[in-house]
Amino acid sequence: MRVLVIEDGDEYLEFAVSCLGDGFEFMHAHSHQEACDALAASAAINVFFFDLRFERSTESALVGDIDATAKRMFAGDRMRARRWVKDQQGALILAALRLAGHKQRAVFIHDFPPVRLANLRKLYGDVLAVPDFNAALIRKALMEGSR
Amino acid sequence: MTPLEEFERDLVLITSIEGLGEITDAMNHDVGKYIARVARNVSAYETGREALTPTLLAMLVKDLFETHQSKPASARFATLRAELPESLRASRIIEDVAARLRAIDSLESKVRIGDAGAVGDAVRESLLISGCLSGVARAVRRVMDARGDDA
Repeated sequence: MRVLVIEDGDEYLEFAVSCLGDGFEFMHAHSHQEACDALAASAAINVFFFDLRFERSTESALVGDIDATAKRMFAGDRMRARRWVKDQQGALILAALRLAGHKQRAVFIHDFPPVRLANLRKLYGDVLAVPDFNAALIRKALMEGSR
Repeated sequence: MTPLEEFERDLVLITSIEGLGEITDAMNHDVGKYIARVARNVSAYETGREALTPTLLAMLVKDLFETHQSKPASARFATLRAELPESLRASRIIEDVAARLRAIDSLESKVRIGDAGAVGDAVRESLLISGCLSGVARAVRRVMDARGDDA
């Protein structure tokens, strides 16, 4: 099963390779653009494995209009908007991938409030979240994505 | 009253909690989630009876001592703690997390060489810290939802 790991560092990939066991082939992307490149290079990606917060990403690598977010949500405070875009980057990348027609299951490691998770599912379809780095639960979530 | 219940009580008394959710979410993510990345999956080692594999030990060392910007988890926590309102900064649960992180830091030399007892202690402390910070983040969200506040 081919999994595209999308994160700003390498902790998810390191965890996946070391803790999830056999049966997976992992590809890695640090941004929306890299995810698009990986998808273009391999049509057989079964599932997306997402981090939510991309604090280490440079602004140019982020999806999301920071200036528009500042006006819409933070009374023009660009710094708070930038932080928000980074904090939500995984979901923003997922939105962009869905818009481009990629319907694979998305698995997040994040403790979403139930309402937020329900909203993500309403917007983006097949989305699962595991609240922490629990290898057994993550493996199950990823494996079910191939069915 | 538990430390978490005390925290939530103090939280309710704060008049403005704008931006607080961002701080406690960052604590939960940057410290609570990553500090338990390996710890959550090595319960067999919690008792300190067995040594971790070299790969998992290297990952654990990274989780504890080389995490955010290659600094210890305690450093990231201290930075975020300083952003909290004063009344919450000194709360029992926040001080408890700081004390547990100090305990982990004191184990660094032994954990780095894979001392089974030290690794077991660090794993236990990590899981407790993760639980505390998850509880804190959820408490803040609960209060914000009840007030209709934004992050």
